[in-house]
Amino acid sequence: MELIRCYLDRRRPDCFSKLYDRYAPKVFGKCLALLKDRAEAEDATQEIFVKIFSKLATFDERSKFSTWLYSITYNLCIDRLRKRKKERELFSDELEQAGEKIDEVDDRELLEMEFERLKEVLERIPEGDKMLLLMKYLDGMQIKEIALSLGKTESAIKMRIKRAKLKARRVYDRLFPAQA
Amino acid sequence: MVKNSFEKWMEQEMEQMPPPHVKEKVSRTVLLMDFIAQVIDLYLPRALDTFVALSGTEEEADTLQQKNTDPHTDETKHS
Repeated sequence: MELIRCYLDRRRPDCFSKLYDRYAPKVFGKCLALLKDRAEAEDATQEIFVKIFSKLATFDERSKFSTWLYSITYNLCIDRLRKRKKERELFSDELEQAGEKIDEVDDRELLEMEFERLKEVLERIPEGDKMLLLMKYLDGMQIKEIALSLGKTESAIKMRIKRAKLKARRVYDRLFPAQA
Repeated sequence: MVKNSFEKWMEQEMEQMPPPHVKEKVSRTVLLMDFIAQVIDLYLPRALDTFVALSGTEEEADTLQQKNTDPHTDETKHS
């Protein structure tokens, strides 16, 4: 918060620089993971930081700065993905039949997976599902925060996460059958 | 603290600094936005005062100012 105040109060370039250097690798990494295109991830990172610095004065400190920043990051990435593939859906629940029975997948299955395998699994699930899992398990965002960030209800987010976990497990079982 | 698989992935592969030109572009854009905001803060009250002085009332000044800032109300095109 000190850095944010320093930037807002004095517009000092070193405060801008420190803020950027601290968060840019995380933001760029997320953009890269979701957009899977280096040039587009660079453009998105630029757009996100311009947005962040122009809206910094409106950050109300009710949530963590990182949560606010990542919400903007995910929303911008999802907008770009939606524009890119209008014909395809981004979430499992947009693809699957309503009313389908969804098994509960234990969080530990994902959290204790080898990260190389996790990466492969996440590459093969819809981008929207991947984003939800990153929000919850990488950034530690609460259901309420995710719902607020994406403009959905908490129950809708819970259901989407449940479906995303199930999708991830199915992909894992298919990719690594011996370990299933 | 034990890191979960997502955190390990982030730390080892995902997290990376974007190329320097991204920071330069952000920096330039932010500086430009700050500059525009400062110019507006500095000159808008003065412009309003001038309009008030010329037109007599604040209401007229507002209308006059809007005409001067809105490109669609350029009446010279129709004359």
